[in-house]
Amino acid sequence: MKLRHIMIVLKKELKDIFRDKKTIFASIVVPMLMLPLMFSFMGYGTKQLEEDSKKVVPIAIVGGAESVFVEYLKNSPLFNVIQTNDTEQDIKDNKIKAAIYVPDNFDQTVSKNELAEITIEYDDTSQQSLNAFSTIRAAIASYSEMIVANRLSALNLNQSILQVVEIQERSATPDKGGFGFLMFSMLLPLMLTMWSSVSGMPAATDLGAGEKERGTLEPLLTTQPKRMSLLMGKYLAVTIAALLGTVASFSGFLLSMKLNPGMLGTAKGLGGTSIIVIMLTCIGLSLIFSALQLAVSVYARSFKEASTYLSPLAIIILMPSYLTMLIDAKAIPSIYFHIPLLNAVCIIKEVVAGVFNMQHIIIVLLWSLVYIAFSMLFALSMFKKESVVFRV
Amino acid sequence: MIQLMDLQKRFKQIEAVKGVSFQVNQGEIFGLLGENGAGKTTTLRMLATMLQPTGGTALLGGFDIVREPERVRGQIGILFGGEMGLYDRLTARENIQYFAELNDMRRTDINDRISYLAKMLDMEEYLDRRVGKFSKGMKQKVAIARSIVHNPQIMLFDEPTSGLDVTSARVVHEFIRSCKDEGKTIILSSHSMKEVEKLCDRVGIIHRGSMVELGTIEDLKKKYGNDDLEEVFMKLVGDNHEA
Repeated sequence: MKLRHIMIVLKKELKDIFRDKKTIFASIVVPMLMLPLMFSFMGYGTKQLEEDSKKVVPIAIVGGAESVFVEYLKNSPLFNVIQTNDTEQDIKDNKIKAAIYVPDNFDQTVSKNELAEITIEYDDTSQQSLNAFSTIRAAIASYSEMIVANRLSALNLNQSILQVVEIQERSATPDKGGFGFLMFSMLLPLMLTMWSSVSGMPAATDLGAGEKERGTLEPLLTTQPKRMSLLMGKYLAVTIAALLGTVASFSGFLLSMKLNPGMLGTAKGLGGTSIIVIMLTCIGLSLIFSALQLAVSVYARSFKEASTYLSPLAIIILMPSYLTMLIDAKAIPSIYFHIPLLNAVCIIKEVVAGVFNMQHIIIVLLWSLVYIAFSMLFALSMFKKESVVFRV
Repeated sequence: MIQLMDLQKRFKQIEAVKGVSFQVNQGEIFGLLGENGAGKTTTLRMLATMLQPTGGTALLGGFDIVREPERVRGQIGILFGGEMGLYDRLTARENIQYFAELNDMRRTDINDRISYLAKMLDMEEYLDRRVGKFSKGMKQKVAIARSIVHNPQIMLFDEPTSGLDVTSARVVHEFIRSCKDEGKTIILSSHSMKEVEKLCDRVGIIHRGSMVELGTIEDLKKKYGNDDLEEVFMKLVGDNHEA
């Protein structure tokens, strides 16, 4: 193996990769824009819903005669009470969002301190109707509170009698950013592991199966360098593409965080050491998966076949990430640090949460070296196998 | 010089090359004649060290294909027919340069050599354009330049004119002749009698992995009492079919 040969191949492959619009699009542009676009659409959607909920809700009231409660609803700025003959049909036709059925003896029942019954009819498959339902419930709750207050004062009792304890909250990690940070520490490890593992895929497909399909592999194999040098050059090119893809995805993540601070949480308190551990983990993952993807790609006869084999890999990669999403970063079972992929998610989770367990970090780094060695040997054995390289 | 000594290749159940021996001298064009699947490509792939023989060996320019594959690869140039195997997103120059660099040429030598080849093959006009949109003939010229950029002493041609039109095929034929004039040792695999008759000094007829006949074209015609090489070929190969 000669370093000079490796560098020649690496240089050429990088040039080739980044001249391909398809690869640039798949490994840089899409990852960079996907999250911001997704979240701005989601942000727009929630905003619409919020605005909808502020609008006056058209409802119908059936029965209730001239009761005080019906007057209360009619005078509420939240509702626009409409007369209808067929509530069910009008809800379906979206003329009203919900209908309230009030018994005619409602006021009398309330004044006798008995339980009154009200029926709310709504469409539970429509978000707007569901919103109307909760607005109506809230209005009824505040009406009930008013009645309860009146009943208590009639008995000469203070309303505070209904409350036994008042809870005061205080965060033990006030500088961490609360819920926003929890979201961040849940999402970031998942995303980083996923990106580092899958971002090399387009390049790997092109450099293995793509080269076979275009018939360039055979002439390449008749040049002087050993197979190992050719493979190493390709391998480094795929890894670099994977890391660039990860950086692109991460910038997309940061951008969406800026656009929608509420949704993705907030990044706070990521120190230099955390960043170094995270970077090493991502590089390790990229090295492992680039080798595996290249091996599969060399085995495949064509571009299409390689894509077919590699797509399920993305799903396998996602599984441990989802598995750990809800695990508490401060109580990760030790065995997790020995399981491939899972240990990468866990170590990122730990350092993001501010936990620096040197033992865990070293275990994960050592395992990563083992995985890198194995995946590289696997790729090399594939690249040296005649039945694989000349599989047509 | 090329020397094959009982060269064999077995793929699992199939014996693709069953102990082939022959010798090609410097400045000689040797034609490997056979039907599709006869073992021509497998033989050439072994000589180019892409495949490892399962028995026997060969010497190319004095180097053993089994023991010194890297040295062998430095000696040879290869030209395939059909798919030219060029990188579409690289320019013609970059394609040639890549192989020159991989064959350990020095940068200044590479530039001189590419200029020389571009002039010789009349491809200066499109030397710095990306190969993707080239016509087949243009691609063929780039592939030719790439195969001899490192000035190899041995040339291996595997069906080099398959799929080419008459003009492009003529370019390839002229190129093969010029290689001979430069004193290179040449093996040309083909299933075209005409091509072989036109270019080769000697031929070997390969059938089902075995060499069934070897000699100059004149010798073969005389031996089988027929002036048509195709008839001779059919006699040899056809007989074996019935066997």
